[in-house]
Amino acid sequence: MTPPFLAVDRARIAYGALVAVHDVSLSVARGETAGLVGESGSGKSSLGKALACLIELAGGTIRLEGTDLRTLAAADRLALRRRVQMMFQDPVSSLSPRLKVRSLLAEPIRVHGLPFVGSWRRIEALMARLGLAPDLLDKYPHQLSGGQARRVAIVRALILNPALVVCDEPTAGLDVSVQGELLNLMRDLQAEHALTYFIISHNLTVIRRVTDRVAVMYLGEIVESGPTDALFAAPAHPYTAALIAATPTIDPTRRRAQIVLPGEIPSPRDPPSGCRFHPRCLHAQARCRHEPPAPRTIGDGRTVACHFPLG
Amino acid sequence: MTLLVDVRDLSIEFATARGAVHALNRVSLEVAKGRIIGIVGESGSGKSTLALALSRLLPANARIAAGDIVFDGVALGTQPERVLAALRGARIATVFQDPMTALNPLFTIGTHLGDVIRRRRPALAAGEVRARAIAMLTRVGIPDAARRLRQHPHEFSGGMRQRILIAMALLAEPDLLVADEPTTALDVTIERQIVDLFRTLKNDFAGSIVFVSHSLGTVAELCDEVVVMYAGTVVEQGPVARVFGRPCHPYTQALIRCETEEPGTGRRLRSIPGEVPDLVTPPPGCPFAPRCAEATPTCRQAPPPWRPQADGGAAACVLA
Repeated sequence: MTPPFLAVDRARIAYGALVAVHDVSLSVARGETAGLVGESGSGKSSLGKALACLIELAGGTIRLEGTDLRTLAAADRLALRRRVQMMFQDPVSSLSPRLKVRSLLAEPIRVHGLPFVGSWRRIEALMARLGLAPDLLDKYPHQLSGGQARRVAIVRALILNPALVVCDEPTAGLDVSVQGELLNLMRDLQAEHALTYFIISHNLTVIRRVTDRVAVMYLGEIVESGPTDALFAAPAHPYTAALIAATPTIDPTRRRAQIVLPGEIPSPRDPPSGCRFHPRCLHAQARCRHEPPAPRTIGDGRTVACHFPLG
Repeated sequence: MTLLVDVRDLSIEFATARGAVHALNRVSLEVAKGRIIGIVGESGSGKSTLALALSRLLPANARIAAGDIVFDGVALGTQPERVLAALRGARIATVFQDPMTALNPLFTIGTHLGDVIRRRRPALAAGEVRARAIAMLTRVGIPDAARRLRQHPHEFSGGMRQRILIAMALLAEPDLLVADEPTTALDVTIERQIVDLFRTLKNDFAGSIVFVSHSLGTVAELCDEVVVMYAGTVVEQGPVARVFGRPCHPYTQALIRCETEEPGTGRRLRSIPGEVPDLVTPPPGCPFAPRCAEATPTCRQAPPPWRPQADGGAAACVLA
């Protein structure tokens, strides 16, 4: 059996005593668009950084095509970087304000010691493909619009011909009227460059529209995962159901029964006993307070970590 | 219906190194007493400028180029700063997008709330001020209010800070509450709590509310009427059910499609081609014409007519 393209097994990420990601497992198939959704403090960005090998695991493994990222990084960190690229949340602040676009795009070529002429031709082709005019090369990041900065970040990520692109909040700060254009472009590039996407977002509408599979994180743990359409049509975890119902809609017929969760996400320094969601859960029972629910399969590729799943 | 706010043909310019930015261009807005008006629009539409203009809370480089803001019969455009200062935080209270920068990190929440109460009711005894602060914090959903009065802003989460700002605004007992994107910085489950809080406030707050948001859904769930802005102009206005149920302006229609339409074959998502015009040199005709699929040569030459609709509101479009 061939190993999955990307396999995360009981990954743990800790910042000192604070455990941000608590023994999380998931897998992503090649060419798929996977989504990770959660609120602030859920640990989703930490997990994304670990996939791009930007932070180390305190436990567990992440395997890319069967090989541990740590092994790959120890052998040749630059080679690993070429296979996994990260697109950061804020494109303007992830581009150095002191460098012009020309230098920003040349930087990966220099760092990775790629042949300059061929690589620059590739950059020009990518810029044309993304609708970036050549005169942008002489601009600084602050002179770009939000959409242009994001496209420059995409060019920078794709120059190295990666297999996996981790996108942290790809539409943050973009107006809804231009989000579609960017997401369509990302989908086209995925087909043209055989990319696998791992999209991290708090925006449920974006996740629902662009991903094939999705995992929902809460306080460092995955509470539910499965094919996107099935999960959104019938959420099994009470937290997923509350997230979906919380999104405001203009259509009164589609407005679901209001679920207003009490309280706020607790500190990961002192997570609740038992199920981490139980203090806010509208269905919590005595068992939820002392026994952490193990993830279990509920058919058609779905898992849920809940003693009393919905539906 | 008595008008509390009557903004007439208001134009506001910002002086910048590149020239005057025409942030608002002949904008009119009516707010009746006791109503909740939503202002929606994307970045650069002028929605926040309009909201802040209601108490003339504008940056130093702003200038009212035409029109005026009439608040309860008083034209604010020509009033001295002293009159405006007396209105702000008293008759017109504002809840800002970023609650951390709106609170002073050096003072306790009790001091913040006490200042507002004493400003409104200077003769109140200290015990009564404290009792009112505790009652209001409890009302906006902050548990253990007596203890939390002694805490500083950094000891509260983003959602709790936003509740504190709402409490401060309500303690001023204003005629007009202006909320400028109060849920934008919050997580979705916390946003839901704050929208829910505004919804319950609606029942016992006698004043009017102007709620600014880029989220059509939030405005639809909360407001009586909606004003849709684009590139410094009002393109459409009317009762929420009419505007979202039967949008008349091509921009409103396109925006609603972007937000609601499910991806079709090949998962293509809707968007509006093109970009918002540069407001240093706004187009002479309809500001949306360069991106409008239905625009005619006339649309590009002259400003569009303001067409009232039989089922409520109006739209600035020849097709409406």
